[in-house]
Amino acid sequence: MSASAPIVLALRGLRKDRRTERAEHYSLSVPALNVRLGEKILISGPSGAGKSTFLDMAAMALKPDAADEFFFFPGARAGDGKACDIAAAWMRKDIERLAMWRKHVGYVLQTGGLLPFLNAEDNIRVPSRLLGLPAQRDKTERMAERLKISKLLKKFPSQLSVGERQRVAIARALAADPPLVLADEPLASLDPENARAVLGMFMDSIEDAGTTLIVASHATDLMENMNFRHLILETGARDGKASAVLRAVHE
Amino acid sequence: MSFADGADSSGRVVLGKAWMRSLVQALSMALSDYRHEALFSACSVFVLAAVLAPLMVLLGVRNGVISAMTDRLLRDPRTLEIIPVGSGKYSSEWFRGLSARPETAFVVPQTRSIAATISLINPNQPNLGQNVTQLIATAPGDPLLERYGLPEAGFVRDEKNADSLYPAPLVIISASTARKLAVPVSPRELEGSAGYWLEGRVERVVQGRREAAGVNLRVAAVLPPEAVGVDAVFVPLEALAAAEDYRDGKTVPLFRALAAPRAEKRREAAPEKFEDYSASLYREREYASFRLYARSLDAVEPLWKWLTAREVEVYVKVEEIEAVKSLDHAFSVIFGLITGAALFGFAASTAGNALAGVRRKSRSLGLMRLLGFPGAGIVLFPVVQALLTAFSGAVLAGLLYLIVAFAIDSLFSASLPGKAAVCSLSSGQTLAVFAAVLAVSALSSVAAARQAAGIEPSEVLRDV
Repeated sequence: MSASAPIVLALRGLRKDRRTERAEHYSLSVPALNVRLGEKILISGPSGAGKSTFLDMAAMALKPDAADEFFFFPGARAGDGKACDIAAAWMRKDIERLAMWRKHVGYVLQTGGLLPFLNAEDNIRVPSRLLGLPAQRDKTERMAERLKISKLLKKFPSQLSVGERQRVAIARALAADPPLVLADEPLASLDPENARAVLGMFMDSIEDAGTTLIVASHATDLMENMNFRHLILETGARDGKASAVLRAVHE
Repeated sequence: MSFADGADSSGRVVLGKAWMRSLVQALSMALSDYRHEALFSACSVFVLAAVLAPLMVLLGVRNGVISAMTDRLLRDPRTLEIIPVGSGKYSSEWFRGLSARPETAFVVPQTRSIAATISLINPNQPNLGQNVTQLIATAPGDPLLERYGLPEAGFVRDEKNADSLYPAPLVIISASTARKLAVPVSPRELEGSAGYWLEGRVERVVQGRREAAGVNLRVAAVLPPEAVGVDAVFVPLEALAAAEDYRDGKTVPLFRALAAPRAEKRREAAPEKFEDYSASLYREREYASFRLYARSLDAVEPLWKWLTAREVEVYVKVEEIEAVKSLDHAFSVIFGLITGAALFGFAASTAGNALAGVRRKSRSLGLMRLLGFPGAGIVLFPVVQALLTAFSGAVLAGLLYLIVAFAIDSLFSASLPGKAAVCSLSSGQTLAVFAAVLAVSALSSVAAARQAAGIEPSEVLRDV
């Protein structure tokens, strides 16, 4: 990734206040963050710090309480610099527009997040179908081969192990060539050996696709030497409230 | 891939092709989920069929035998008859006015009752003697004869008197007359090669001298005992009028003189042309009475009012009419209540199923929302599934109905008059049931659709 690569996600002054079981009020802040195409970002921090909350906001699935700037550039890969003003859309409660933009983000959840009534192949094809992309069977087969799920394509999620589900979810997240892929603790449900294997395949696929990845994970040791920009959610107290601030580790 | 997909150059969302594509995908998801949960879907279909099939059978029975029975009562000519009290003077014009009224189903003039009798003799059973019988006028479309599927009265060639210049009346006799004269009742015996013939005799006194005239009558049919309780013979108006005219001392066609001087016999052999006589009956003649039937129960009152306004005293069967109307009303209310209760149960069950389905599938629906499905697609998800259940359940209920209706008809149809269908639904009624089921299902799933629309992806993401 070069410093001149187009920006995929740009945000400033992002804040989310929420109630948690441990603290009555909790505040998550992101002072500033620019994410460029092809960049790999690792977000770590203690449990409950707000890693998933941040990813949900980045995925346009959760409304922030404040944002000075919050832009998404879905056409970054095609050289289209048009910005989607996520903050303005949330302000206008333009839920349908946000849903439309979400089609351009891949999201890998902790346990896959597959639709139980579709087989693996159909799950993988949902984003492409929503975007009206032509069926690319050979591309799906290549990706399935890389993720070692070729023989699992006709199986339903209930017939797959957790690791297999994760691999199908990775394939789905990458299927429509999104400019941004988010992954929330993708290895948390896997044993160390399986986690290492899935991570390897995941990273290979990301490199192959040339896309952007933001991953939230506790398993930072597994991701050493993988060229991640490491951000951490620092927890503390501000104005008598528990808070977490997203900062670069080597800043 | 271009970001412009689904948005125009200014970034406005284009609710066109992209939106429709997403909607189609959402429908496809709903179908996939419905198929994936085959057992659950089948149970919902069976539950619906279990509610709907008995309701369809009930409607079929209401439409079949009970409707037929009520209809028979509603159209019973005896209930619809308006009987004049006493005699009057009713002109041809008066009859034309009455028959032109929309409430009138049938009207035919009737002569003075004192002149409307005839003595009948069965030449095959001479030892039975004469039977004095009431002459009643009839004409094409007589509701009493039509109700029992009997042929119309009329005229036929006089097979018993080849020299006769006139045709012979074709008549229908009452059951009691048939019994007293030993006339066979079965149409096969009546319609034998030469037909079944009776001799009629009318008497008069002219200048102190007793005279008699005779006529051959061919029996076309015998009315069942419940139709008429007295000795009666239903004849064309010409025969009735001829009997009255003969008694009034006139020379008439149809009747040939019996037991009279030879000269007079000759004189009366050809009084006038039958066609001229027949035509005159509908022109300048006045009648003392009439037979009148209303078109329906609701038509009785307007006719009664019309007649009363013209000072014609009549008798109508008010109590019978009220009884039949209240029976019809009671049936309608009972079936309405049963249908209402069943529809309410069906709507509640559909709404409950759809709501429970949305609760159960909230994770999948939230995930679909995260993947970028439009809100309309998520709303359609439970509606489409409810409609699928409704359609499949209605088809299954329709099949069950056909089986049960066939069984009911096989068991009971033979015991009904005319072997009418005991349980029947027309194609229009079946379509109406299907449409009602689909409409109720769609309406019942609105609450579930609203709940689905409110699902936020962030609320369910951590659970998937």
